[in-house]
Amino acid sequence: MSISQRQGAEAARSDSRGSSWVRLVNGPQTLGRGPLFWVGFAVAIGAAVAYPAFVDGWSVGNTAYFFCWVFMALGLSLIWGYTGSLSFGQTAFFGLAGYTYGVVTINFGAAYGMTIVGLLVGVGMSCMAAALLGYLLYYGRISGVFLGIVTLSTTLVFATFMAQTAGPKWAIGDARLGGDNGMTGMPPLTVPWFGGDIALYSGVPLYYLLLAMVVLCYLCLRILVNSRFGNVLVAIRENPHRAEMLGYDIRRYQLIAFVIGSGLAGLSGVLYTAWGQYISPSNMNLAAAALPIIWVAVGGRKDLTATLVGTLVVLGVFQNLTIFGSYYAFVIMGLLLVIVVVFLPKGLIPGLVQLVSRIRRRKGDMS
Amino acid sequence: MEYIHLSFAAFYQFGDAFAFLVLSAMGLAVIFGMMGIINLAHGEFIMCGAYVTVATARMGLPLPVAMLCGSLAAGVLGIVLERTIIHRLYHRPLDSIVATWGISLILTQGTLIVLGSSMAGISTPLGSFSVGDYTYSTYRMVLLGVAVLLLVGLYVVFHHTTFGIHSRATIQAPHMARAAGIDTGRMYSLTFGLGAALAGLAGALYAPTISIVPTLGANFLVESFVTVVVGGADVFLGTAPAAATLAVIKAFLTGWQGQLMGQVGLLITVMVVIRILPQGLSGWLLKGRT
Amino acid sequence: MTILRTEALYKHFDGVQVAQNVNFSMEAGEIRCLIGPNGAGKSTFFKLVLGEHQPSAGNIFFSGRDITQLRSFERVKQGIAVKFQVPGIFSDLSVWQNMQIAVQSHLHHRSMKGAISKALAFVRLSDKADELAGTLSHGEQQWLEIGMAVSTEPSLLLLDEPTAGMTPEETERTGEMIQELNRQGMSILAVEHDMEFVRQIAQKVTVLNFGEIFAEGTINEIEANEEVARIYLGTSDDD
Repeated sequence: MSISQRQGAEAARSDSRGSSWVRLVNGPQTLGRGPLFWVGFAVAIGAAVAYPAFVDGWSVGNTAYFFCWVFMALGLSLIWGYTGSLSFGQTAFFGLAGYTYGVVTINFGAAYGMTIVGLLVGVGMSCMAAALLGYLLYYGRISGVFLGIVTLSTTLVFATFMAQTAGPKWAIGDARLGGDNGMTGMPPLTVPWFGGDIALYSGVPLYYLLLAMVVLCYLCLRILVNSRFGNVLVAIRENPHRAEMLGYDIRRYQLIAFVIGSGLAGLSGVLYTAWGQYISPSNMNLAAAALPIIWVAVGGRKDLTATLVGTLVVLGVFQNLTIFGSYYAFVIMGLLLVIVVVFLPKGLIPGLVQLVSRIRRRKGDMS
Repeated sequence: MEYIHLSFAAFYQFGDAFAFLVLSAMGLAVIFGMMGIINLAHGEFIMCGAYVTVATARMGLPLPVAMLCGSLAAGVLGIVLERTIIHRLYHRPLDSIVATWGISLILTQGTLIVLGSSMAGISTPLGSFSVGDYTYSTYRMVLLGVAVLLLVGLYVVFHHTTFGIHSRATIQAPHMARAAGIDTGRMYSLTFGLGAALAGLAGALYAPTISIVPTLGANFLVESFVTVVVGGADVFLGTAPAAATLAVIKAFLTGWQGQLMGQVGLLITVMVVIRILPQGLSGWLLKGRT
Repeated sequence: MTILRTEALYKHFDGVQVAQNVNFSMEAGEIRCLIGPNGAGKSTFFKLVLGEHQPSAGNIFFSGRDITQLRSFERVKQGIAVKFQVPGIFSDLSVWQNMQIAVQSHLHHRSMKGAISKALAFVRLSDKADELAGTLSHGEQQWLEIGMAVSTEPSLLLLDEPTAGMTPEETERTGEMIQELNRQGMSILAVEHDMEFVRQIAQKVTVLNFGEIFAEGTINEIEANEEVARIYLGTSDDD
């Protein structure tokens, strides 16, 4: 038994002591625990807060762009990593929410906090679509491989559908769906404020808003996965049959996890659309659908921290590669995915943690 | 007379859809049925078949020979990938799916880099014929014939040749097969190669009818996925009836509302079928027997 | 009071009868063993009781309530628990977490830690709480699963070959556990091959053969029954 696992188990036991919030944020279903981790966490947040003071505007906007994607990755970690459902279609919810945001804000403008309404409606649409699809899948007893195929097929059909919506015939109110070229012209997120609304174009304010949202989302998900609910999710991943025979309605748990994760994909979709004022079917196609899988698999899908860090790192690498052309970047991503799946199925970060603890233990043995 | 014309039109629509579903799903179904792996690089084997066919046909090879080249090239590619990557993942079927997605990305985007965003195609051979007021593509009818022949051929291969029997033995009881002296590793490679070659053949056969772009495989994916899901694990009992059922729905919806509604209809059918028959059509058909 | 009763229960698969007119009944507080040759329908009977199979005909009553239409998890909530033949534990989680997942289904936080500790002590795994369940020995995994099943506080516990693969010491200890649970008021229905063990725990034995109840009685009666001996030797009454 490795040191990290032992720590995990000890955390699980101390779990039932202590005050509930700390217990949940710091529970057994998350790798990073203990004082050292939280010191590191505080340092990372400090660095992220100070970051805009040290770099140019483009870098700040670009990092904000990375933050937009994190929610979809964390949601996939919940669905795939924690619950064990293969959902290959997260970009459908991403796209649906993005288009919805466009339709709402193009028709009703940005004043009176309408963009916030657009955000909520977009995320709500994703949740509802996920609830419907998830109900059909889980309550239809579709699992394993088939779940992956059906979710991916749904996404591809949705992308095909959006791709043929060119021309004035395809419009909802004033919002043209735009076919292959996508939808443009929606306003950025705008916060109503005394003496004039604040439009959050990609800049420092947007950066801080997204940073706060990422941290909040991460902490909330930590609490969720370490709660009773999270225990059941992990139980379903490990052994669905046993979980059901302990009296849990596993379909309900799977469905709720699917809706939450897909809602987060929707949140990413809205934020991305608002950030770039653009959404198109190419955000949902086969290659786009592979990206969240890659972020989550490379970082380590069974852990939120690994997913978070992995996503940001892979996004950075991907962007640097696109300097040579996006095709090259995709080829490298494909290679990365194959290599990780074959050699480090748990992901790079859990692999690294294991390595470090092995070295530490060896040192401990020698002294 | 009018009645006959209309029935032929309906038959043509159905036959076209049936051939497309069978041909695009066959390779995926062989690999899934025999090895339990859903190959997400399926579309890229189809793409490979189409590219090699078009390239060799433009070099002057007769079209049928060019198509065989396309199918073979995809088969070889399949065997190479099986030997280098897939065989490491047999004990982790869910991971193998993710890995094949990585392969799919590499192949699509790699083709974009090497061969550019499109390639000059070839024209559809054999011209057309007319029944009543409508004209029909002769080639589409040939494809229907090929699809039927292929179903029969595969049945013969898997039930009446040494390869087929060894392959089924390997799938059903690998330990027993090994004890009986069958090289199971080789059987997996060949089966995967056969699946890839069949996918390549689909690409080869449809190459004259589509635009030759690196992402062309994606156009076959949804149809092949739904056929395999509806068909269930048994390739022979599942694929043909699944394709026939889905073809009726697809032909009807496509004729009525266009290609896209056809796909949407397929998706909805898939969810309904799985709800009623969790093991797919083949599981249901097998259950009926004692 | 009758805790479990089946009424004219039938189940056929692909034309094969795996349960035929099973009219089974056991009283609350009983330890019953279910025996019979391979393929006699013991596992099928369990699956019918647990709701993993739907009967082709007939009804199942639990504590007087018709549960035939209930789903598996609902039956568990009613008070049925099961230990499978192949240990069904969460291998990649710690022993403590395994137990926690079982306990939390019906307890609030306040009392949870005590309940987990108690359950672990009962199955003698207190000092292994931090280990991964998958690293336990086979016998310990069986105990962990019994502990998990018991933690849902069932009134009826189904045990599918609880001692398969156990050492004689482990088997004996398992028998003591079962009797202890029974003393606390739990009814127990066990499928078992080991007649030694059946003798140790069972108050009454039901023999299944070809999906039918073949005989029922005390262990001594069953062992004295020549017909039962005959079906075990494989010579059925039609020759």
